[in-house]
Amino acid sequence: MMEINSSRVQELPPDQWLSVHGESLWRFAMSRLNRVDYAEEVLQETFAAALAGFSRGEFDGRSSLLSWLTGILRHKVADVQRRRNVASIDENGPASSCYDERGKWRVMPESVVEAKPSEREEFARIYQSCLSNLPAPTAQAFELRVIGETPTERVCELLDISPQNLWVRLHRARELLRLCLQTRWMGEGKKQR
Amino acid sequence: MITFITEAISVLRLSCREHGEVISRACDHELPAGARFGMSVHQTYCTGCRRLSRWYRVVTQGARNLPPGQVPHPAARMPADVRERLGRFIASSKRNGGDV
Repeated sequence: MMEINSSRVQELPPDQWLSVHGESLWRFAMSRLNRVDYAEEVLQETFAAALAGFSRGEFDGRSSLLSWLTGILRHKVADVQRRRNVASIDENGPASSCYDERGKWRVMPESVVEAKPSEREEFARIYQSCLSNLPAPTAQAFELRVIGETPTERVCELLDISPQNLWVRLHRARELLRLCLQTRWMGEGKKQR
Repeated sequence: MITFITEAISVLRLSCREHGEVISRACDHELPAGARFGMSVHQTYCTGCRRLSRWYRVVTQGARNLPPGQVPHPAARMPADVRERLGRFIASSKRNGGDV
């Protein structure tokens, strides 16, 4: 991870914001919106607001540039979530809005419609797209443990996390994939059938 | 036997929200027998968790059925076309004095 000292932050011209901080901002947006098109929309709005603010001298260098940009992004993500009616993906888990305060189902999962043999290619395409939208830490754990079938102890060593942390990540990955497939496979897939 | 019963009871005490992680662990065969039994009992009367369990099996199987060599690197890196469009957007916005 690139560390930038305060004097360099102040000198970092806007045309380098994307190359220096783009990936961090992207991960933040994807971890909350889980859709490439929404994440792009929100980053564009963030850069627009940041450039306007920067030209008005609103960035005073007291916080790091990345913190300042992330602060703007956080607001823009909330705007997009409201505008697009995206369920909030928060620290309580990607599907926290599906449960009530006692942890009981408020919005139950839809029944699975499994792919017929003739639909498997289409399912795989949607699955891969959902998989590529997982936030990086979740994706790494899922890729190693579930796709690569690497033993838990080895995955924990590689990622330097506890088994409990790994299970939380795997659960989060499955939940994000379920939500994505429920929308895209049950939505797009059904329409095409 | 006591361990089995203790594990089953501890899982039966969980909320549906907490149950999700138990179902996920079961997909990776990381659940002790008693906990697995508790999970099965919960699912006999909970439609939401039963459906979730079915979904997680589909999700897990989907990962294992990905064609060899076509496993995408699921890192959250910004796609190249998005980066290009954002780069163009910043450049054009700068030309307009950041007033967009």
